[in-house]
Amino acid sequence: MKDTLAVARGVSWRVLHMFFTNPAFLLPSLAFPLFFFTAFVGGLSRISQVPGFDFPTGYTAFQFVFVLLQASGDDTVSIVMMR
Amino acid sequence: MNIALLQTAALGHRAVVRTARQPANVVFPLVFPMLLLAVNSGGLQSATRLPGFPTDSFLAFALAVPFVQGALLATINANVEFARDIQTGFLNRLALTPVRGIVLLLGQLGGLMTIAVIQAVFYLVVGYAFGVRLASGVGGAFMLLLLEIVIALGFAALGSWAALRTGSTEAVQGLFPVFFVFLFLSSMNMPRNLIQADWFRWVATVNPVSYLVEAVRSLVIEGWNWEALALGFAAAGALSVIGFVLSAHALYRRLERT
Repeated sequence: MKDTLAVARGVSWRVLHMFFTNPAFLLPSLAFPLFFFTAFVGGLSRISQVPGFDFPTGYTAFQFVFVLLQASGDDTVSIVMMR
Repeated sequence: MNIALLQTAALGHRAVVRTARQPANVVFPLVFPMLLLAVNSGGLQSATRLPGFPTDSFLAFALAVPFVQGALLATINANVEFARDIQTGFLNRLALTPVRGIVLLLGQLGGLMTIAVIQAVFYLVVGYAFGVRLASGVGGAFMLLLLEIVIALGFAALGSWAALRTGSTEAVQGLFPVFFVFLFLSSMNMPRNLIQADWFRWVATVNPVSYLVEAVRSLVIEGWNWEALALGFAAAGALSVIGFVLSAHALYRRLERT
């Protein structure tokens, strides 16, 4: 069990090191979700006035959920590409 | 003159055939815009209930986007191949023949425009199959194809400039996100007068892609809106002229170096 954890820690450190030291992985995974967040919040914020839209904290928070999911997906793709 | 036309046609034909032989370059520009259209029109249909929204069908409203997006995808793919011609030395070998430099460029752009028209017909057929009827009628469909040609020419000329300037397939592929930024910061999802955020409305107003989308959209949902068409043709024409001048300059610089 101890050996397994040590291996897992070593692999995790390698992935983190590669991710944070390689701009080709780091920048797109930060920039793309933020860009889509900006574009959708800016362009579609009127959607909050559609009858029936009842997300309590507004359209920006509604869209932010999508950004978090997209960022998770992008990170997964980056990690797969490292292999 | 006839020889130049023949050479242009041969090079244009080569650009079309080369694209057609690579299924990824054919299928992706056809399918990806349709998937985005399906997702957007399904998810944003309720936006048509906003006061002042110009139509009750978001599918009809959003059908303009694939025309611009498809032209963009096709020209990126084809210009990647053009950059590969430079990398593999094909352009250098062609430069040793009597083919004039400008013919190289015209042939490449002609091929890209042909691909864009084929795509546009596909998008029209899909839209028609899902119940979209052009408010401008059959004449509007032909006007739409003409507009698509000019839009594709604009993107193609800029893409060719990148290919000639850098000679790198990676650099041309790198243009894709840049062009996409302009698409997403346009009025693709909401009419400009309904955009709530002031800063975004300003960006969409100065963004020429908004006028391309709005010109196509006007033919689909409004009919013959000459102002939108004039702005669309002017924006696409300006992109074409700028791209062509830059490409011609980059071509002569590249041929000088050989």
